[in-house]
Amino acid sequence: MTTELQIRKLDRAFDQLDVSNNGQLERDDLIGLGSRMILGFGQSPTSAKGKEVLDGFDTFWNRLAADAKIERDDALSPAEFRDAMISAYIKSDAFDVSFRPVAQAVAKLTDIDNDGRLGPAEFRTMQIAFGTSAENIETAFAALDRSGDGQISVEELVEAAREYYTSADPQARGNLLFGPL
Amino acid sequence: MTIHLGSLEAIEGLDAPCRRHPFEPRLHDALAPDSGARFAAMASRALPESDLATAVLFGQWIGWFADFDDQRDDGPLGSDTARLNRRYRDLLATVDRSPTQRYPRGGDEAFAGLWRQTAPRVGPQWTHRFRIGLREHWRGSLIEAANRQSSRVPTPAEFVQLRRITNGAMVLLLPEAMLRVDVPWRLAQSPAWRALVDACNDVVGWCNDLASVQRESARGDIHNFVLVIAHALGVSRASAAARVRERIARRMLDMHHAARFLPSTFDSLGLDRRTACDVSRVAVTFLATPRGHLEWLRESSRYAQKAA
Repeated sequence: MTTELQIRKLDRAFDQLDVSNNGQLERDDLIGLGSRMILGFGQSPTSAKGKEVLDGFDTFWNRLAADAKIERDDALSPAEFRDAMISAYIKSDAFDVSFRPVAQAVAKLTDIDNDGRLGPAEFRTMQIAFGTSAENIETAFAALDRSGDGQISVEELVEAAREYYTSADPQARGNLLFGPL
Repeated sequence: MTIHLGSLEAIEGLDAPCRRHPFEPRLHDALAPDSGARFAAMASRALPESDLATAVLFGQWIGWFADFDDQRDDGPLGSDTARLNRRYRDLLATVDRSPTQRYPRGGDEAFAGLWRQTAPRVGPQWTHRFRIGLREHWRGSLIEAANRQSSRVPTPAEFVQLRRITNGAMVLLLPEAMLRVDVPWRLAQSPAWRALVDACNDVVGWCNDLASVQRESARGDIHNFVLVIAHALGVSRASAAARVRERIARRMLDMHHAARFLPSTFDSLGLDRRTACDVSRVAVTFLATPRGHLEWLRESSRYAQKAA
């Protein structure tokens, strides 16, 4: 059974992904978000990293559309998005197939110098694209920086995404991926 | 002399294949009568996220621009200034016409048809910018015609400015209309946006010149960056092509550098998140354009050497 915590996180996720702010999630919203992220890191859709981000959002959207039984160019209401996410990533274990790719792509995009780790500046650039406030960005980074060394590994960020979008554990660090809930 | 485009794919930003439209075969069917030029292939890569009708519209625009270029480069428009001026006045009259006015017969009906479908997709500021671009394109065409008549070869610096006008003054406004995004005037005039568009324009124009140099040289046209540099420096075409390739690599860096400044430009202009994401889609389309153009050059027969 889906917990109130999971629903709260998914509802917040909807608001972050609905960049057009029209109360509907469309594929164009994800492409817009991906585009904004790519720009922030000076990449292009024809660089390996940029292409991986957009391809990842495509894979993610295709899974949501399939679970919601809509066409590629249709839209999802907040409730439909929540139900599709629950179906795909909480009740099923499709995370590795259709969510991990985009999470890894975003994490690798954020890792500007390809050393497998992200500093506060890189993390901030990624979070700004999601519309996260400056205060929440700082809180999120502190929560995910387990070792306290001012760095988050790419894998830690991907794991945080998995916890945020799927975990029912109120103690999971990933719940703070975008700051306090 | 064969220009190898493959080496360009080692340049960062040109190194990953383009995303392509999921309905590309239907795009080819819709744009089939293009004699091997394969503008559908270009449209597929330029607008992989758009609906089919929009990608078809873009492909039709590219076909129109290619035909217009051929009329100016190979046909009477390239040397008949009076005819050239009449043509541009007709195009401007179409752009200036209100949506309720009828388009007169005898003009460029293909352009009028494309304009009717395109202008309503964006606001009046875009039309204003297109009008400016069209006038600049007119000015560039007159300069080229004068150069041909006097056999004057422009300097490399002159050519860069001229090529930007004749290559991209109008066509690089199309992504906004195709994506239905009104790029705010202040953003369009900002240094970062202008730098991004100019760099994209240069890379595409110069890659095109690498591919078309044999064709243009054969007809005695000097409006090609390889030929301009060979003339200016007194070097072989192979050496000039290598220099053009180096400049392309530098402009790709410039383009990505400009793109990095766009988010802070969005902030300084106070763009809301929705607008920032919308204009990001346009910017990302520019960033993908050089690779898309390169892939199209490989597939298109437009610059293939015809057998004697």
